[in-house]
Amino acid sequence: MNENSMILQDNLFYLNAWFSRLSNKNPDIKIFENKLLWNHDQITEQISLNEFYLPSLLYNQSFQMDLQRDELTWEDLFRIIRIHQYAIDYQKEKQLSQIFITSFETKRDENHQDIILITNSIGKQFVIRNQILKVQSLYEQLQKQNKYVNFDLFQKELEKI
Amino acid sequence: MEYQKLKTMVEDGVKYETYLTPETREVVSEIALQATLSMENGNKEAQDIVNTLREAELEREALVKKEEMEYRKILRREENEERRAGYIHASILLYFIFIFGILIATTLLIFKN
Repeated sequence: MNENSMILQDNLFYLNAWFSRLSNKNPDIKIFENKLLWNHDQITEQISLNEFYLPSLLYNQSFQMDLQRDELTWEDLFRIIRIHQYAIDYQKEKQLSQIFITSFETKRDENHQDIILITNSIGKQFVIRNQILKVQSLYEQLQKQNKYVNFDLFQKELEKI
Repeated sequence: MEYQKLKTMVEDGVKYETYLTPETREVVSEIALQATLSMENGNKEAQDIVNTLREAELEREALVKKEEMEYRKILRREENEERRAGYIHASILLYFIFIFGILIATTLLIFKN
């Protein structure tokens, strides 16, 4: 069992318990597979339940007490979980935005094929073997906009090639 | 991150502030700060986020005031009840003193005669 499925299992257990404790229910909020869904205003919002550990919310005394006192609704619970998920997404995006390409080298591998060796600011290296010229021109283009090319942006642009 | 998500975060962040983890609270403050700074540079989406933040804060303020008033009402009611209970106790005490007084007076009269 990997870490994500363990988190999912715990989250489902706690979430079911919380929902059954709260009397102010909302039939539009459901758990489906590994997602928490909410149908409202003709859209379906979904939160992945295997990305962060829901029981950690219980460290907050107000949350714990209001949950016990049945002072929250299903909608409140969904919105509280959603804001935590968004905060995690935000932090991930922020971390990615702080990773830059520190070295971009064109080399030859042992088979004498041209390759590009990219190193990012957290020390990870990536090798690109295809469409060398296009990748090189993309890097140069991005470098014109900003001296330090953002690694995440570069990857996104690379997918378009 | 999409602007709509940032807006939701700010709105719910104010509404559910007491239920958030310190990390999430920090993220919400950061978004609010960045939106305020971007708004000053004429960013319309940032302005919308700041407006949402202000509305949410006003709503919360109103809610806090309402809760405060309700709390005061409860306090006043409790005070009144306490006072009423005090009066009842005092009346019972006076009643017993009165009865006791009559009893003593009657006894004294009987012994005098």
